[in-house]
Amino acid sequence: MWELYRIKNVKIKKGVKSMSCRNFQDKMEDYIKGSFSQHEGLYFDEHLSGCDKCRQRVADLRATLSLLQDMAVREVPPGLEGRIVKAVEPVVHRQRNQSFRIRKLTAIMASAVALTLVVLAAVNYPWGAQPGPSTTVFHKQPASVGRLHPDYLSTSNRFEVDFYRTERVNGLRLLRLNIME
Amino acid sequence: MDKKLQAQIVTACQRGDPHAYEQLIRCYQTQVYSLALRMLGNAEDAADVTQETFIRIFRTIDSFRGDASFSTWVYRVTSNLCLDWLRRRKRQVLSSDAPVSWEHETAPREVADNAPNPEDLLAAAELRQEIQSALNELESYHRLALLLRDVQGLSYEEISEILNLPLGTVKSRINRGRKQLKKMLQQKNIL
Repeated sequence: MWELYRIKNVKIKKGVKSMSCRNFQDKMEDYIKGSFSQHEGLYFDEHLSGCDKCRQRVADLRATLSLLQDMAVREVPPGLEGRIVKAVEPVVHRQRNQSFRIRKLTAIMASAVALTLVVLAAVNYPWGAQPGPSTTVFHKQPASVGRLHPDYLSTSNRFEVDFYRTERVNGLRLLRLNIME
Repeated sequence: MDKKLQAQIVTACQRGDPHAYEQLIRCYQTQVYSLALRMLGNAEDAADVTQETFIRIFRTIDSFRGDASFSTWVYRVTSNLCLDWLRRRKRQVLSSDAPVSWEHETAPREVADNAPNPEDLLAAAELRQEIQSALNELESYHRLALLLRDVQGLSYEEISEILNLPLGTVKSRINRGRKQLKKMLQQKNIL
């Protein structure tokens, strides 16, 4: 026969063995630490009221946990901190030097790249080029073009080509066109 | 420790700030030493492992990306070093009768009125020694899981992350460790 008891709005079936020892043991730590719901608590109490073995298990675990909690170390022995600091110093020093070297190397490489770009720009800049009847322009030659094609120059830039020759500058095949105005 | 502050200290260490290293040591030395002492059962070995842990942490701090909490990472390094240490002295079985280089007892230097008397302190130290010798008899993997849970107070999820094991395995190791420890303590008439 089942009886229903209402305890603080929680219903529990009295007289029914609702929790096995195995289930209780799975939750025993929660029970001891008080981390369970009101509903679960009623089932725990009900199980414990009829199970001597689990009551003993709870007492044993509670005592074991209490003993273990006292095993935590609150302070390190005097002198240990100084010893650790001294021992890690060479490692920290090496790490710092390494990171400094990496930063230095990165800066050097960035400077080298910047310098190269400046030099390349300077080399390719038409120093001393005078505007006149004859102007030299550079165009990248398409791979399919074997000879000079009228469309090769843009429409806004149609010139009569006097002569041309191919050149290789920085890995690019270029046509040097000598254009008559 | 506040997670934000923790992250700031770690970042400062990664930048090579010398003060940050000392701060980090101060923050974590107790947790590292505590775990090492209870795992190894010997103050000298625990101090050596604590030192080795910090050397390894600072050597590899650049590889810490913040996926896990720094504390978890510190526990992982400590756990691995403790297990390595135990493996190295595998054959050297600790006996409860062996002379123990016992932990540093932190008795107050200036005795307050309500301070425990020397007999109580001695009794407490002896009890801890008995419990430690019971812990030493546990299988190292069970001991480690048990200590992380019941002495260091970590959650099952954190332990699972530290040991890189499924949650079920962690729970099973802790339960087995507790059962074994209970037996040992009963044999010693502590429970």
